[in-house]
Order: sequence, then structure tokens, then C-alpha cells
Amino acid sequence: MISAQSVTRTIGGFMLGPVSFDLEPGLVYALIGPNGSGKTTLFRLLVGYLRPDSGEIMRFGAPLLVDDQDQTRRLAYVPEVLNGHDNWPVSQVIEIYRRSYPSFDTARLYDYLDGIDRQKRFNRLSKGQQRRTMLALAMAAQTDVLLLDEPTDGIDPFARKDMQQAIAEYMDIGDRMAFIATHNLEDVRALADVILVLENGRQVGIWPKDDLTEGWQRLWLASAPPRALAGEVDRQTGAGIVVVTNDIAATQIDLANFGIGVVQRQAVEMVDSLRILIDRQSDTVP
Amino acid sequence: MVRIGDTTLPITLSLEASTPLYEQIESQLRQLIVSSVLAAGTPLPSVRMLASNLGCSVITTRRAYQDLEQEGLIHTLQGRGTIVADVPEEIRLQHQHGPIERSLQSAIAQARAAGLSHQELRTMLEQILTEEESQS
Repeated sequence: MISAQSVTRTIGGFMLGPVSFDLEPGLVYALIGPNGSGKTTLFRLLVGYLRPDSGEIMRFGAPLLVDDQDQTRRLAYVPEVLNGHDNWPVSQVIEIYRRSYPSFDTARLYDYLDGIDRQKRFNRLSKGQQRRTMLALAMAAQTDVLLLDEPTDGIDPFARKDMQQAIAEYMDIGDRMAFIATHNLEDVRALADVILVLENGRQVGIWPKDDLTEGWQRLWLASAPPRALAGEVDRQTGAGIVVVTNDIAATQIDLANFGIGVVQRQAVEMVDSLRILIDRQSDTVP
Repeated sequence: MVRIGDTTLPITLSLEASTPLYEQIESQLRQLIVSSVLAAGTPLPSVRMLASNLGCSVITTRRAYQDLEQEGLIHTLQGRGTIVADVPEEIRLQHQHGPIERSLQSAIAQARAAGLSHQELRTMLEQILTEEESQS
């Protein structure tokens, strides 16, 4: 639906890329990376606010052309820093969206904006309300693609849950795709299907989310195995012999062959498995 | 924000188990259906909503639904979501008997390994059944 082929872009001393990916309809992609990793630059490239220095971006089967209205109407973007509407009443911001997007669903929007005074000026809303408003506008636009930069930043836990639910409902209609930059692993858990990691402008990897949890276990062993176990991705010493595996079934067979008992086992948190995968990936990239 | 028809199924995923996630969903949903906890015609959550509830991806929930659809336990109606299928009684019984048969088979294997004869095993089973009956 949206693809990037060896895309690079330099801004000041910072270089993004090369990034390459192919985002498929029906899936939610989470973009994870520390601040300054290039997430916002990548989004601005995909929206067409920036042009790549090299490489190619394709949207809906055609090369990205900045002035292609047809392509633009099929995509809604919520940036991390909200501005441009500061002094306008919310109702006027709504009017702009209604005119820009042919399938705009006003009834749905009013549902989303429940409790927000539409006569207020945008900059008089709380930070969380501003974010909710922009996200609601993007979803009510009923586009095929949503690009969201930190959509739940500054939002209370209840509103966050509602937002996750709303994004899941958005994804339930047709063959839509969402690409969401987030620092929040709760969002990743509730929404993502595939995880893309950026670090210092480099694309570190793309993993199906369930590959970060399924089969992963941390095992405390009764004695040290003579070699690395099948499925072993990390070994720590400290309180006994601790092995992290990403293929517990294979590891168990191996342990049985060595006659080594498991003292304790624990699920591995997604953030830990992600760290291990990122470090392994970084080791193999020159 | 709106909430529309989110059926929350009594399904949980365990990351401590070594069973793949799609199999965990399949076996729990299968059990709910063959035991009639979920009656024929009950609407099921979409693959997206189920994934969101369980914290897994739609790749996993889609696979579980596809397998159960092939087994004839659920039914996807074009554009109208997924419902529990009308499962014939003999298939329902098959599913209920399957796990019991497997437990018995493993008990038999254990008995054989311990050197018990078929006759001794039959006597043991009769004894257990008689004790059960006298208790209830």
C-alpha cells in the first residue's frame, strides 16, 4: 500500500535511511525508535512534505507525487506537534477536513469528540483534547491509510484505551492500513501487527509482533549446558544460569537431551525481546 | 468515543506455555463451541478486535479463525462478521470424546510401561468406577 525503496534524506547533520519496507493493507505497523531516530522525518517523507535525496516512495501502486490530490485524499496524517489551527474554533477545523475528504463521516466524528466543545478555539483545548480532536478528524476522514505520530502522547489512561479501541474499529473496515509511531508499548500491544525499529536514522529491523513474544522464555537452569542451546538468544549469569530462548519447544528438547532441569521459567517482556533482536541485528550490520 | 458490539470472549493467552498462540486461541474457542458455552449463531469478535483484546496480531487471530472455519465450527458471512456454526451432534461428541480418549491412551501407555496386563488394567478401571459410583 505504501512502500519505500532505499529512501534517504539528510536534514542538517542528520541522515535518515536508507529505509526500505512494504506496508500491506489490513495491518497496523508500529514505528518504534528513541527521540531523534528519524520517525518524524520518515512520516514527512511518506506524506510528501519532504522529498527523498535518493530512493523511491510508492503509494497505492504509484510513485509519490506531491501534487497528486487523489493520493493525498486516501491518506490522513496526524503529526506529533500540532499547529496551524491554533486560533481557529474547532468547528472551523472540522469544516476544512469535511471539504478536503470526500468520505468524511461527520456523525462518527461527533461520536469521537463527545465532551469536547466545538465552539472553543483549538489552542484553548487541553493537550489531550487537541490530540483527541486531531486523531478523531483523521479517522473520520475515512481514508485508506492513517499515519499517526505519537497519537496517545499526553492522554490519560481512559482516553488512551478509547483511542486504541477507535483505531481498532477504524481498521475493521475494508483493507485499511495504519502506521503508528509510538513510545508506548501498551499501544503496541493493543494495536500493532508488525514492528519497525529506527535508531539514529537507521532502519534496524521489521518484525511481526508475535515473533517478539511467541516462544520466548527466560529459563533458570539447574546446571550450565555445554554449548548454546537450540533457540538460545541470550545468556546471563547472576542468580544461577539464565538463558533466554525464542524457541521454547526446541530448547526444551535440547535440555531434555542434556538432562538439565529447569528451576524457573518466565515470559519475556516485549521490550526485552526487542532489545535482544535489535542488538543481534546491529551486530550483523557493518 | 463509541464502542460498538465488542464481544469479549473468555480466552486468555499464556506466554509461559510452549503452545503457539494461534493454537491456544483455537483450542479454547473450540472448547467453548463444542461444550455449547457459545451457542450456534453467536457473533464472534472480528479478528482485529480479538487481536486487540488478546494483545496479539491479526495474523495470529486470522489463522485461528481460518482453521476453525475449516473444521466447520465457525462461519464467516461476507461483510457480516463471523458467527458460531451449527455444529452437528456427532461432531460435537467427537470433539468432546477426543481429549478423553487421548488421556486414556496415555494412561494405558503408562500402565504398559509399568508392566500391567490388560486384565489388571480393566480391574483397576472397574475399581475406580465403582468407587466413584459409591461416592456419588
